Amino acid sequence: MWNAYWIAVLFLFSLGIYALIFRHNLFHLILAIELMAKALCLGVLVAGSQHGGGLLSVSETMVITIILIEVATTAIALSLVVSAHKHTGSMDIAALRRLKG
Amino acid sequence: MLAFWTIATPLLGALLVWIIGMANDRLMKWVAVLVSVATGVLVVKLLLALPAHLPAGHGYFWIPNEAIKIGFNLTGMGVWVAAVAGVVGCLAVIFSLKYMEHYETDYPPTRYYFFTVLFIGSMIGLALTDNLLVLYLFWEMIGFCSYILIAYFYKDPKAVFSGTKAFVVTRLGDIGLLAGIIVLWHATKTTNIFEILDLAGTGQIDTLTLGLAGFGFIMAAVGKSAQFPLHVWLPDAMEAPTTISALIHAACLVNAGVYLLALTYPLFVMVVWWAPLVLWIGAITALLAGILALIEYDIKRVLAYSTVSQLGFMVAAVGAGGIFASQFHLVNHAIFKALLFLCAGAIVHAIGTRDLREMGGLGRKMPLTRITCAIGVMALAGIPFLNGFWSKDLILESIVMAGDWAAVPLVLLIVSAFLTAAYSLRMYWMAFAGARPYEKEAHDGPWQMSVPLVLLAMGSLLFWLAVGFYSTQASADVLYHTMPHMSLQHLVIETLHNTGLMVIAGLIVVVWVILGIAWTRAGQAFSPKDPWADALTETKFGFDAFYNTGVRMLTDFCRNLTRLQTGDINYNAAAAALGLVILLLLLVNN
Repeated sequence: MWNAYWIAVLFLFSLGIYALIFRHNLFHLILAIELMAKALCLGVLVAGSQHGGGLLSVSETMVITIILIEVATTAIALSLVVSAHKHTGSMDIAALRRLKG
Repeated sequence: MLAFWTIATPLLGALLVWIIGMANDRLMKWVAVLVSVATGVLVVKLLLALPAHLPAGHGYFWIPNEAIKIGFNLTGMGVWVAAVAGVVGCLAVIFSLKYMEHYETDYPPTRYYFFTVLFIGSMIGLALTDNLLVLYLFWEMIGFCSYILIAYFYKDPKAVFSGTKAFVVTRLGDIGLLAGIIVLWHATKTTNIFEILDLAGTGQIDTLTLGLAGFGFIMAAVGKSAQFPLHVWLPDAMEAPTTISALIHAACLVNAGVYLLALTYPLFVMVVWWAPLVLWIGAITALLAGILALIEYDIKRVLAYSTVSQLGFMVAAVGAGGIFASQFHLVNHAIFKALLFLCAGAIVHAIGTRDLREMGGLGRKMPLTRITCAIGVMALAGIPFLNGFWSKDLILESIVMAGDWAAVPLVLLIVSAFLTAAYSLRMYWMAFAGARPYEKEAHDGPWQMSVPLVLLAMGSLLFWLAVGFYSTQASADVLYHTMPHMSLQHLVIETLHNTGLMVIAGLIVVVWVILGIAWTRAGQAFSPKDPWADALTETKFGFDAFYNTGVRMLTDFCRNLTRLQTGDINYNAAAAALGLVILLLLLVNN
């Protein structure tokens, strides 16, 4: 059960969390979230292929759905980044600490 | 079906009041009156329809997986508490029509009527349910409604502070109730009060469970009924409109605690320390509040302390096993206390002050208020033969019957009975009698105010004649409590033959006469001018310090906790990741 696929999933996901915690650039944070989402997609596919009951097609459909939804959320996130940059003049999240006003 | 509509009418009616209130204030007020009168009629019909003989195990499934059912508690005890809430509530709403008109320009009336009707409905629901979880929901609803209504004059910081105080203090008790219910559910896997009583009766619940739950229920009742040491919120709650004070004191809020203790008495009486603790709490409360009422100058706060004291009598009666006496006194107290509060409302409406020192000689100007108030005061003091006399004597008798262990509380309660006579006469004397007549303009209220006063005064005078009816209905379907069937003849003969009680009643009358003569000669009633008296009533024997310290500690703690809220995305992500790790560890362990 513990094959290379699972290790890749874990590695990608941890990389995403690491970046989310230690990076200060808004754009990097979005990339980190993307990375975690892709790790999850891979995880769903691996789980479907290992189940053995012909569930691979189901997980493939789900992954395609996830990717589609993610495109939309990423687009919104990027537009938020643009407006945040207009508002604060920097890409640093420290500038966004106080959400008031 | 009748029981369902009795609960649903005020709850749905409150919603209707809110919706109509968005369009038209005048129409909204009449809808509120209509709804509350309909509630009063329904609840009286329900009372007359007793005994209902509901089959065991009836009800609707609420949470089917846990087999939790909602049913009705149509035993005499519950229905009487609901009847008091419905009838007194409807009179208070009628009284409000004129009383609240004065404040409508500053405060929107819809909020007042919506929460008042909701308040009445929640209390009826609390009394008529047989499921402890539903009882808890209604318990929280009356707590919330009282918070909103006490803080109704929200532009006045004192009112807001009092509302918050009432909410925080009763919340402390609510925690006890919830904990008690969970403990009982854990042991019995049911929240139906009658099933729990059945199981406890056959000895299937161990003493530790009962002890824990019993302590929680005492906490709840002490908080809600303003007993020692959580009595601090009720006098401050006088910042509410006077009609709301009448509702809180007589009908809706404070009765809930006494009712809860009476309902669960057969359950917890098996715990050795439970009944004596309840008795002691009641007796100490009655005495402390009686002393404070005697040195207070604010007419509404005098009445508030008197409520605390009378609730102490009821709680003590439950502790001594006098369920009938405590419930009978609950109804009588509701009648005369609602009357006294509405009288105070009429005075405040007429002269615009609550300070007894600025009154005096009002009797000539307000004859109707004077007569009704005199009746209320006599009933409160326990002058024969008004309704307060009979039920207070029943309470003292039940404590005598409890045995030697109740001797000290009995003495405390007898002292408080004399204090009651003294402070009630003092209040009446300072407001209506006095050497000089009241100079400024004052007059009785219009019919919306006089009709409830007259009805309640007649109730105070005559309700004891219906004791036969009371006890027949109160003992309907009551399986777990011992409710004696008490006819009028029986009550009169038993009370008149009890020499001790008659001596006490006679002495109370003597005290009245002596105090009345002494105060008339001196030209003023007992009025301590020392600063300690003010400080004592202001801090409720110093118990405010506990409240203030507790609240300060809580706010400091929360302020320190906000430092965790940095607004930094990195920290938040780290916390989320930590949470994920903990969740995974839990899943792996399972």
